[in-house]
Amino acid sequence: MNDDGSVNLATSCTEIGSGSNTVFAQMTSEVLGVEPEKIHVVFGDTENCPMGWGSRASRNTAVGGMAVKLAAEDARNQLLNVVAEKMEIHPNDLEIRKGRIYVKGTPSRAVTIAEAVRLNRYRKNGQAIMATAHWDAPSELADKVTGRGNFSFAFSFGAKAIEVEVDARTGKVEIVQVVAAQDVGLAINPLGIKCQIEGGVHMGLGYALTEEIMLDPTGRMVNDHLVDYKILTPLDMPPVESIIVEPIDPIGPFGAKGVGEMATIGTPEAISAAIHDAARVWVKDPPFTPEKVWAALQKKEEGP
Amino acid sequence: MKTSKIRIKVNGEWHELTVPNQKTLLEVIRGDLLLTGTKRICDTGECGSCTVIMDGKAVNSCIVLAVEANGKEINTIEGLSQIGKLHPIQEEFVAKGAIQCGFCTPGMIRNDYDGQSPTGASGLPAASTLQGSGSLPGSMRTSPGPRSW
Repeated sequence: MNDDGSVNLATSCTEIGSGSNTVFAQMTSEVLGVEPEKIHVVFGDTENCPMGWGSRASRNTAVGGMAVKLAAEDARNQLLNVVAEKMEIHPNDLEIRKGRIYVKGTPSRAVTIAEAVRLNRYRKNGQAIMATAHWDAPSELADKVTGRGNFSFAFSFGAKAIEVEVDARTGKVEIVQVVAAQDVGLAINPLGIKCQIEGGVHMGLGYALTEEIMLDPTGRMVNDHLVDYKILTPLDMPPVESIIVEPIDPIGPFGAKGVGEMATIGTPEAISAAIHDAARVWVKDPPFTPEKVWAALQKKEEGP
Repeated sequence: MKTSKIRIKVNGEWHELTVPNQKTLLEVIRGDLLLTGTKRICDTGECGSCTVIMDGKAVNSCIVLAVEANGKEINTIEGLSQIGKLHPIQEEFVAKGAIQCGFCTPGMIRNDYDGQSPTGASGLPAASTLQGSGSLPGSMRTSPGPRSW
């Protein structure tokens, strides 16, 4: 923590566009009572940050978040201890909120967090308010013989409902609308989660309809540009309704768990099922291009 | 290497530069003028992240030569906000959470801002012509967001 009461938070969890930096600042703010804009999140460089093994498995909020919470709680205790010592009361009698540390029930007996940081530093044997934390999420390594294990302490669940229209003449699939519901534990940042769900659906729609890696006989990708590797543009996106379901997780930080990948998973499957519902053909090999759907329709017409 | 003298007005300020003829407008904006809000991603005019407004029209600055911009008026993402005050489009992006890692955001905003031109940088209809659909036709991105609104 800095003398002005601001916080430097260095994390091994790299922000890859999921919004984890914001979530970490929110969590730190919740524990330390420091405004989120005073929390500076540093990530992505082992010169300044702890080593991490990657932002994967939708684990930044759930696993990294717990380490953030533990470190913030440690720093909070250091702050409360130095103020309690100064006021000659027990740390449990102190409250920390909105940049201030005050005596419970007597909000006028207070110091600012910045003052507490300086109090701790500029004295005999003074120290910085500083904390590190590491969290090893409860898991069960896979059994070498059976392959059975449990890699996640908090599985996420999601459901998709997708309406499609299939052009019987051309095989082209149009997505009419998408409804995506996801269980996220406690929603730390609901707007961020909704954006993640929509982004994940966008990715899933591309995977289902247009995105295809084409290789020449030597294994070289022939469509390695955005003009021929087709992702959906905003004009192609159907309306997406995202629904946040919040069963508080008993282990995750503040009851939160992972979001990212679940938003993509299930999208192509739902589209495949919707195509079947509309046209009575199964197309299971994404992307479901007009050619593939048309071929399946032809086959159905010809009969077995 | 042949060079040319050019004069460009960027965000209201005239600049005189001597540039190699093959240098792109993007390289001048980022490298010479140090306006790094305009991003370089695909460098082939496909993704739209380097979008700037040139004489009122959105262009991909990675495929515009600096010499082509001679005498023209350029507006970058830095020129959109008034001192300390965000443009309504920027405010809307913030309010809707239409930001993730943010790398391609300046290009999206510049594309959306191109209200006068019938097409965005990619030649697709500009967002404002889509009657508030909030689409950003000139931008290609796979990261989560922006929300449709």
